[in-house]
Amino acid sequence: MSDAIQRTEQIVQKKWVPEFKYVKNESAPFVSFTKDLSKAKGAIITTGGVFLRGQAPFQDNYGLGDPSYRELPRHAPIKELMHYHEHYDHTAANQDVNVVYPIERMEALVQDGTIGELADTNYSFMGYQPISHPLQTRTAPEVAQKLVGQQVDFALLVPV
Amino acid sequence: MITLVKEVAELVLAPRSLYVRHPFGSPMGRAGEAEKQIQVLKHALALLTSAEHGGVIIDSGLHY
Repeated sequence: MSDAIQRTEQIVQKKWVPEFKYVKNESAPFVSFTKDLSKAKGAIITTGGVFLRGQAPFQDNYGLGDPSYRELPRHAPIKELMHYHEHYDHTAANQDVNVVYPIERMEALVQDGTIGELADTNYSFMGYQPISHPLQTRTAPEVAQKLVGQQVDFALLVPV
Repeated sequence: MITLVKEVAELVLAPRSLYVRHPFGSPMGRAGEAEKQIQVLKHALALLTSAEHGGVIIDSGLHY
């Protein structure tokens, strides 16, 4: 484990969650992508803490994180997209939400025919998960099932 | 997956990771630079279709 990773672990342990350890996965899931991209349906999963005005904002819970997710309708007005996440600088996202949730850029790729379609519902987490169990066992599998239900061919994960 | 930190991508082992030299808070690039943000997406899509095994981490060569 690199020095930077160890330092981050120590900071989280000292400030918020003494038991925190990075999860180290031992294998990667993989399916070859053979579909014609111009006929494929994509989805975005951001960890930028993006939510739609009117939805409950994410909460930091005094440094314990928030394993919940929000559903972001494809055609939600850009000005209605908010973001809450205490662990990154929001300067760029305040100017252009596409830096953390590239919805307009994906729409551009649909328009020019690069990809076939975009999911009607995209997803957002707050990418600070020092207690990963509820994310791993409940909310992430739930989102995966919803993506399957939308017949999505690929998902782009955008950590911040 | 877009990744800002190679070491984190090595821990996560997503099916495919695209490394970009962008700062925390701006994984897709600078605010308002639509063409460059689309370039990141095109690199990610190229990796989607070209990867032959899971856990691959590709350096996009893209800078902020």
